Amino acid sequence: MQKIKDFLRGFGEAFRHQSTEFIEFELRELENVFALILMGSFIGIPSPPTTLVMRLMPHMVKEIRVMESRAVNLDDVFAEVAGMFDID
Amino acid sequence: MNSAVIILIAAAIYVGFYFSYGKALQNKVVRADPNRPTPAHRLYDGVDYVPANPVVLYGHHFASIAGAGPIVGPAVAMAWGWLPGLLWVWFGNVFIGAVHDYLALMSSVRYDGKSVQWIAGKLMSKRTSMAFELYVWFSLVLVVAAFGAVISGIFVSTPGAATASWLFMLVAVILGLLLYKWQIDFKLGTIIGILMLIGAIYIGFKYPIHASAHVWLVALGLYVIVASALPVWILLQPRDYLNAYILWFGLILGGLAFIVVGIKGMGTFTAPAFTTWSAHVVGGKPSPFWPTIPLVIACGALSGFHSIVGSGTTSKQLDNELHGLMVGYGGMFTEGFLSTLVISSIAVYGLQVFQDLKIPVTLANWGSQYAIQVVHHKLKVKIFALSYAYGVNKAFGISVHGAALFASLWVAAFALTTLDTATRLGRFTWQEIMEMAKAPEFLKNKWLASSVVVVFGVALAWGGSFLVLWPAFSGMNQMLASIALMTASLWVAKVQNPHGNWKWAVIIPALFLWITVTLALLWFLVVVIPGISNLLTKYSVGLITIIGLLLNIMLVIDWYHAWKKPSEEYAAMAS
Repeated sequence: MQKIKDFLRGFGEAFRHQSTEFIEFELRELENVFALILMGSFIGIPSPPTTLVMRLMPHMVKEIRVMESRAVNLDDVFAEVAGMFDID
Repeated sequence: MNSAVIILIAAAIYVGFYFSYGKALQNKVVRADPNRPTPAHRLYDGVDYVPANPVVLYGHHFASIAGAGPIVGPAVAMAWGWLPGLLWVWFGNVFIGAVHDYLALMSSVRYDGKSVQWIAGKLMSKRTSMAFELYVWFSLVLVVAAFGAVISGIFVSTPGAATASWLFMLVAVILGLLLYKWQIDFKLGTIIGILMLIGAIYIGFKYPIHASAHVWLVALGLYVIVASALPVWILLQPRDYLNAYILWFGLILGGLAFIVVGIKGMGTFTAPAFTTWSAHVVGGKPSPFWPTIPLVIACGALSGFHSIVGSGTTSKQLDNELHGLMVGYGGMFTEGFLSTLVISSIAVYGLQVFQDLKIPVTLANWGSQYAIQVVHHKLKVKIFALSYAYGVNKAFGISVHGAALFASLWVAAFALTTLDTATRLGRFTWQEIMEMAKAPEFLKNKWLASSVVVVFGVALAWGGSFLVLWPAFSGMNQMLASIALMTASLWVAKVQNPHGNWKWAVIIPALFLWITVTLALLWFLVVVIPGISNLLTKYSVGLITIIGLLLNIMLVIDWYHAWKKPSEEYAAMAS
């Protein structure tokens, strides 16, 4: 009985997930862009004033970690994009 | 034969093989270990790598892979009779399709969530990875052509579905505003969305829009170029959310209806079990069931796109290795069940549909006329929609017109999403290819990139026969599956190195698939393409097929070279 309840709860959660997955992807991309604006000097993008960067830095710890992880997967972006959409 | 019996046999086959063959693959081939941290845990970042509830992953995976494909393909394959197509769906699923999906997912889990395209580049060669991207781009153009033809056919044969579908877009936009802009209560917004959807079906019923197929193709082309450029919250997200309700409601209602109809004694199959080995299907020509069946039934039995879905985001969110079987293997089985429902409904009521619409398809000429008449009268979806509606009406008393409209909207809604997806991905792939080719900036423009895919696809659909476009799309799709399964077979044989003969459970299907698809496309090139009257279709589809075949031969050469390498070279990759 508990397994059936868990399955139905998961099913409901699946519908909720279906209502936000693309927005979450877009949010991740926007966060990516924001991190690049701040940290872009590593790859030659002109950075904003140092004082602004220093004030925002403590809030960017997670984003830096994510950016590092994304950099590792830069040679495999297509699948993440394709994997989200309904294609069949 | 009876629909209840077939549905119950399907359920028994899928459950039986899931717990026997599936578990054996899990334990002996993949050696799934519940104690081995998945990338969702090992590389957890709260953003991309996040463990998810397995039922959520299963629901997302199934909703992503189930669309118009598992409906249209089996509907057309009825030309051979109901039995051959059904056997291909069932056993193609069990031994090839579900294995492909499961191993694409699990190999990706073992490579830190990297895609099967990346793994192919690692295990075979870099150019295999390039070939993958080229296959995808050509597939996407053919998707726009084939699915554009499907949708315009639905709108012509069922004008009420045209009204309902366009209203559905409006409903999705309103729902997007309610949920994401004005942020009303989620459950309330969902209820409003579903009620508006029912309203759209009712208005479609009352006020059908009549137009020609060409008018619809232009409208669809313009729509999809604009829709694929909109922010996702406005249309894509809310539409996708409502699609999930349509899918599950349609599947459960249909499954129950045809069991009830069977029990009531009204579910006897009237369509022939088998017509002829070479029914007139692909290009309207006598098509030998083997090897041409994958050119007709793609998504219901096996689909290369599933490997992209499974190794895209799903592998980064798998909480436990043991969950992979339900998501990958089980997800494909559920799609096979949908195709079983399609075949059963047409087998029971297809003949009645032809009689009611006065289409000259009889038991005597079913093999030679079914596919040709279905396409000529734009019934490739309506044959299913009406059959489904008759069953639902006989089982539960629901109006035939209403149920047929719902079923048509179901297919149209998913096909429209596929068009949107194909355009977005086609744009992305085109820009990546232009980047690699160091092309001038204007060629990387997003509007141009979208337009290339759409204009090419719509032009093919404009003059091309569906019985040429659909097999061309299916062929590319199946070749994509071939790359993924051959990659998986290398991973299994060289990295996993299972005990006994279990590696052959993957290698044999991979080689069988490669041989089947290659022969099918050679046959297509030699028998069907020369007879195409429309020059754009003839040369475009011919060129795409030739390129696909050349890449396919390159693939097997790379596979062979990789196969010859000693296992020790792969040992460092084992995990």
